[in-house]
Amino acid sequence: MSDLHVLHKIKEKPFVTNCFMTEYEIFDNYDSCNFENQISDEVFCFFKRTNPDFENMFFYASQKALLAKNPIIHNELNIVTEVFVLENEVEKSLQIKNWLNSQGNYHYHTVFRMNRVKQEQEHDVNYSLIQNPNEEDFEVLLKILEQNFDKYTERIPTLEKLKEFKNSIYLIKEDNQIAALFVTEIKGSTRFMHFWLVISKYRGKGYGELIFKYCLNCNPEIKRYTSWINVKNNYSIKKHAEFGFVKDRIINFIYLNTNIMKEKIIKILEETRPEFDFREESVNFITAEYLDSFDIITLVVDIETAFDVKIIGALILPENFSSVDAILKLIEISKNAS
Amino acid sequence: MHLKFKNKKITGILSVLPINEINYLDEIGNYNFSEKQSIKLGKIMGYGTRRIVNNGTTVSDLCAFGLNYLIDNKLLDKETIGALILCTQSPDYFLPATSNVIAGKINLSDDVICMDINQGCAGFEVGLLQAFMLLDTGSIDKVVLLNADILSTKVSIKDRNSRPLAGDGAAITIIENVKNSEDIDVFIKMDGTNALSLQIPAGGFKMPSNSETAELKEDAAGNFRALDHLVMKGDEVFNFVQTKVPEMLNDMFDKLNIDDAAFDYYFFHQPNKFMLEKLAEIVKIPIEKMPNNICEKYGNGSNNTVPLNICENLGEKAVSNSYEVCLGGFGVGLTWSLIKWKIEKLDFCKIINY
Repeated sequence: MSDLHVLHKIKEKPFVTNCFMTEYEIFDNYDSCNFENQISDEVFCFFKRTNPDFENMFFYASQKALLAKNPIIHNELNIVTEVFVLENEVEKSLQIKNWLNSQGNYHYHTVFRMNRVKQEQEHDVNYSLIQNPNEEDFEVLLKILEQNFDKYTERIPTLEKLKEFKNSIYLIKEDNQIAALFVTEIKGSTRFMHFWLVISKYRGKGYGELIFKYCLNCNPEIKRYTSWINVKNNYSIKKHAEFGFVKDRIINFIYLNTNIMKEKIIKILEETRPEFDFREESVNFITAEYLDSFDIITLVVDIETAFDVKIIGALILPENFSSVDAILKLIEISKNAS
Repeated sequence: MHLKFKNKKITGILSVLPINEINYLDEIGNYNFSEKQSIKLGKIMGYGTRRIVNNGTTVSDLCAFGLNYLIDNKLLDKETIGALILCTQSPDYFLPATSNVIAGKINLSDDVICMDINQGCAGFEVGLLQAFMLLDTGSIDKVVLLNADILSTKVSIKDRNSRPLAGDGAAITIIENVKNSEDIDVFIKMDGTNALSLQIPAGGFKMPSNSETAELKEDAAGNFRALDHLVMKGDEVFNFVQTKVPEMLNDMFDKLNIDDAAFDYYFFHQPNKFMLEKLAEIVKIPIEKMPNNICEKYGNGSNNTVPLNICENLGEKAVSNSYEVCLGGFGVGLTWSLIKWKIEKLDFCKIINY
């Protein structure tokens, strides 16, 4: 389909969209956009690479497509979808939200805080523990990120990218070991708060709060702090609120896709029982006798290795292996429980 | 159910294993699965070597052999035995009781009470419970508990679900009355509503064995077994262990006001490596405190895994040291049990070959 034809189609139909690129941006910048993944006349997708492993997804979709919840298949990269919610288009936003949810996306909130909205209590705070990483810290740091965050949804940077963030990464060390970290990124006068973590054995010492406060106060040039929080992570939501963060009214729906996870699961299933087609969504793998209890055992071990998770023994039940979505849910529950 | 006892001691434990050793890798060709799949499953489940009896060897043979070894080596004076309890699911006969047969084989006095108990994976704990009750009568000072099974003879050679697990063997445990202040806490539960989750369907009075019950049939997963063979609903049994045992363990911690650090060892039944690993993860017991090496080395001997676990992992150390232990059995019945006890300097703790 020619570029122009796509544009005509879009103009002809009253599409719902999260895309506010100009025609020039869409069609004349092939380095950052492509059209390979447009699905049908009802849905046009544009993908813009924003990170070595991630693409932003912009789309135009008809009302019909949103109601039909047609799948968007894009298996090679992780996709971030930002939905701009406009006050007078709440219903449309809700439809988009449901559409993205139906395709296995994790929902994140964007929260932000303007500088000095809330003055931190500075007295009795000892920031001397906090340091930027040394050259030798980066590999360990990356390992910690990979162990503690889901690389398929949390946009863990590459080693090279991490090194670029050097001056906006903060560490607290004990006995030369990383005890707490905050990886942030500064773009203009905005600080993006990416990864905030206190290693479990160092918890209860106030390191998390200390490093967070430091990030908010160490650079007076920063005017805006912004972060994405998984809507299910109540602890993080509460903590951000305590530091004066509020939900972004404009971009409050961030969706990170799980298609790569699904692909990985399907691959594991196919290796376990190559004779069956696990891509058929309507099939219940258990009642259709695709999997028996011993297949489930080998699956558990393969999934644990592939997704770096310990599946809870009490949840190793046939119904939790009846579909790719059920397995995905099982992984999520096990991760949250650990 | 929580039962409390006092003034009891284990004097010694002897495990008797058939010398005949089978390697899982040698049997892979029997199963209706690819070699790659079977090897992978074997690593996860801990299918390694296992001991199985030769044709014709019975539970009474293994037990009498072990008892004679103890008597000959002056580790047991048969005149002092007050009761002989046999826990087994593979008795020599429907009748008489196999414990009577064993008493006859080693010429025990007619004052010795003999009784058979039909229990399997929790057979050690149920047997100990029975021993404690007999010792509490005041008329008996020494009970010999036998835990023995030869279930390898009741699994289909073409059943990859059960065959690679089944090991045979016997264990002899001497329990005596002593004066001490150590509490023994027995926790036990039984769920008859799920009794058939693990069963041998034919061969009893409900479905006597005949040519039809001996016929091998393929199941959905590609295993071949007959109604005369042992069969289990793997997922149900697995879930039962992963939910009920942690519940009981937490209940024990609460009732006794202790935590997991109260024990030097958790000597649990070892159905397979994977199941115990997952259980250890849930109850957060470090694997060095919960040995998981019996199934891989000797097979799952049903009744004898817990005493064999102690012999294998403590051995001579149990003769010179004392240990706070949590004994755990769970499986057929469905029955599950935990016992908190102190094992104090045994006279013997070893494994011999039959």
